[in-house]
Amino acid sequence: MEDKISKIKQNFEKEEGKISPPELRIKYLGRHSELNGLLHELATLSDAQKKATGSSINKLKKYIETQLDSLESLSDNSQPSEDFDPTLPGNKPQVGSLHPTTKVINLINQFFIYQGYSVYEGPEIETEENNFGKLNLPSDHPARELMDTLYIKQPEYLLRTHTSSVEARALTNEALPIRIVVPGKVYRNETENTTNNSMFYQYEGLLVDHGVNMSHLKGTLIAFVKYLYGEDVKTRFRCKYYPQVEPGVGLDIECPFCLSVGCMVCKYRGFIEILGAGMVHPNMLKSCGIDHTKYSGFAFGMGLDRLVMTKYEIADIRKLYNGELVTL
Amino acid sequence: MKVPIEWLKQYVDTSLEADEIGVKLTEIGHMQDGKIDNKEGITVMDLEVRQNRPDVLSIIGVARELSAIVQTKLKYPDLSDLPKAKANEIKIEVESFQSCYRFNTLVIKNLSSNPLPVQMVALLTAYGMPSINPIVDISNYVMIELGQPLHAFNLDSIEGTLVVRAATHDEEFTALGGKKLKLTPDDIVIADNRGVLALAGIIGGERAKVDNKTTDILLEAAVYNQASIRRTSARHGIRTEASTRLEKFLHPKGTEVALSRALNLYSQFCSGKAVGSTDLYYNEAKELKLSFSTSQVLKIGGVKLSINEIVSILNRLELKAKKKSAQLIEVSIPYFRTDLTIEEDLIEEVLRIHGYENIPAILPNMAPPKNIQFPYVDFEMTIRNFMTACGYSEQITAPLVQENSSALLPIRLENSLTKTKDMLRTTLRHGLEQSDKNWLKYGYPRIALFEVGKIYYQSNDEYKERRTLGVILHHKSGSYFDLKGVVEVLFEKLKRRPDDSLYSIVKIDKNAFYLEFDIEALINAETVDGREVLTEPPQQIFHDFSFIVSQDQAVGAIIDALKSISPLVYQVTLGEMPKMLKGGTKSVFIHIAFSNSNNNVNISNEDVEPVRKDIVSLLESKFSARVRK
Repeated sequence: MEDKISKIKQNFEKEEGKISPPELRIKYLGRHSELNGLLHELATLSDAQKKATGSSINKLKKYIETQLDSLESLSDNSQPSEDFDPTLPGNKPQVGSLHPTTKVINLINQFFIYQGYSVYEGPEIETEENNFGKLNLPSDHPARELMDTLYIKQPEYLLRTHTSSVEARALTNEALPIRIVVPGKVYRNETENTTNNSMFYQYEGLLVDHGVNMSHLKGTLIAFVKYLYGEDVKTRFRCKYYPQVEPGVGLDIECPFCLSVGCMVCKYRGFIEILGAGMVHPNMLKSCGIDHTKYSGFAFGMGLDRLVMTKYEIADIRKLYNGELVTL
Repeated sequence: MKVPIEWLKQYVDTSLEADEIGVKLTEIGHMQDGKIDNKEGITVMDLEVRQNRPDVLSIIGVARELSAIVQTKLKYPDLSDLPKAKANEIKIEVESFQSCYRFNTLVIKNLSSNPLPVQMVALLTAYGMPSINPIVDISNYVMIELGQPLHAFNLDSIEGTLVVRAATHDEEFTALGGKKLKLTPDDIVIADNRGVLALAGIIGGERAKVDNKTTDILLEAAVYNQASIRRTSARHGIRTEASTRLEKFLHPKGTEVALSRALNLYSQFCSGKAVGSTDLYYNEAKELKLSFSTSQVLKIGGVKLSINEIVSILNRLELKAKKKSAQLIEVSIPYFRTDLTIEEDLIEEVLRIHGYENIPAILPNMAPPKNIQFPYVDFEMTIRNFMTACGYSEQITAPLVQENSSALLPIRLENSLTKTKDMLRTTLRHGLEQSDKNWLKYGYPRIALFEVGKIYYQSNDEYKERRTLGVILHHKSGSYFDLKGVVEVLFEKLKRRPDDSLYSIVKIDKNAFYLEFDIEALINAETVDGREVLTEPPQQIFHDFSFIVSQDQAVGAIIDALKSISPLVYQVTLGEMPKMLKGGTKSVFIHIAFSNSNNNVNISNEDVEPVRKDIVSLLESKFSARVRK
């Protein structure tokens, strides 16, 4: 066996300069090479011989490989270099991206999930009862006139005008205490323009437990606004009327464009209203079968589109949802 | 609500400047809107209208709020007593107290047409009401001052009895300004024997109009059914200062105050004399008393205030609060505060005057409740993330569409503003095709888009919303199999047993394919076990099978049969796309990896050989294949 091995070595050295390296590689290292054939013969040897011969074969293989490698690199250097221009642009993989609204929902969900809230959902085709009745908005309530409702079958079935309808569902169907947030589509019968679309997104939150009060609402909202706009954001926590809550709250942030001096963007208010909130109205708790003397809670709601548009510099709400948005 | 500051300061003593007043009012719930204006020397501030506070649609109402903050006493305007005992010469009737809660009138005669004081007219103009003539200006002035609309009729134009009634079908009426209306029985009118004189609570008419020659008037102040006012105003497209106020909850008590104030001004500036008055007030509202436990301020408001502090705040708002015990306060609600009906309403009053900025900010410290997150939330996000990882970009398209045809029974809207958006989509395809067109304009060579959204349809008389994945691939070398591959990996990644009935792939045009996937069926599909992570590749032996079968033979069936032939078959993959041959046959190249199902045991050629033979004979017998040896 050892003889055969040294014979192969000699032959290789003889042919080294005459045959091209790739051919040599096939001849001496390929599947049908003599050396490979020897490997198969190993099976017939005793264990001790197997070890010694195996090691010789491998040694020769290594030697031939090293020789060939150096030969190849030599021949490479002797030839003109290949057309390798590292300044050419790379082959970019195609990367998909999430819709800006989804990204903002994810961002906000992250805050509230950390605060112990569950992301909750409800249908977009709603009953009059869940969208208005249970929310302290009886049929002749003026607030109903503010919302131009899209009806599927008047007066009972409609497209929800706000995500608050999901609060009514959760309070009726889920056990207390409860903490939920609800991102989702809502609909209004509106003339569409740069700031109004018949479909848009709201983000709703609800917490009902024992001993919940306005300070918890304020603590939550301030922490949330800092999460979203940074620690230094200036806020205004003021009284505001919403039929679903009592007391009611409007939360504003300082207008980032004029720093509360007053400008076109903030309509000379100096602040931009970002959400509405308040303590859940006892009538609403009652209509969902909850004892309002034992439980109290807060709710908040915000439009998401304005936030998305500011973050992604989109001037027209319609472009968010009509296919004109091309993500880069 | 426009507030001329000089007018406001007639009732409340304060040295605050307009912008400071704006900040204070904003804090307590009357947001200052827009810039502070100067109109011919008068400073005008605009306040956002609160739907539940008709009392603040008056200068006195705003003054009352301001006086509660600056803690000075409100200065009331002067009133004159109405001639209560003397009925006026015109007979008055109210047809239904369901639609008119109170109808209060006053007849004033011998009015002069001397001009009103310049400042009075200037304030009215600064508010936004142009001056008409002294008689009308005074009635408008009182409406803005007190919030209760009034209307003056020319007494000489009224013929016979004055009735508040429902209009008849198609009854004609010419409103002030000449607009001709056709009324409906849902409209309330004030009429005499000849016909309609005014659309009640909304606008007066041309016939009994007060002009410069008028000396005798019938002045009316009334409160109607709010919803009726709102509907009539919307039906005829007429919104006036009167209707904006009367469509909210005004207390009927306000009519007599408004008439008393008007009489005072008419006698002061137009030397008019009241000769009679009538009052049709069917169901006099009682004063509301609320009991209020001071502990509620802490319980709901999170603010600790003493009972004396609470009483003081309530009294500053003219809510008459009395201590009943160490804890209990009884509050008499004045008539103008129709928004206060329950204890929580009073908590808001206390908190907003105490200052929302003084409420502490504390994160809730109760134990977080049970997680009730919808399983769909994570499932859909997994799908979204998977799709983006595959190079697809998410779209959100409008669910309100117009589809020319659909396989499902669509849901239509009854009152859509636009015909092109009068139904809910039954597929995500059209929205994505629209997106595709837009991306094409940007010159993308490979457009890969998806949407995770709902489709809507009717089934068994129920409205259905179905979570759906729509995917579009538009690419010159793209194919059906690119989307099918997405489906296969989705089943794998979501660990669901593949089921061809859950999706459909259609060709849109030469280079574009559309996939629609039923997400709800997918989440509910049979789950399969499977590891997500492997730490070491199993030892494998490979064999290639090349064979010729009839062109009719589905290769998928062959692959399925091979997968289940032996537990040693680890993976079956297509080596290359089948090639069509002459004579109705095709050549198929399949690559099979064998491994032992027990990862710790190696597989040998001897193990594989019988399986390989079985495969060859299966191909030959079951699929009539000619296997290349």
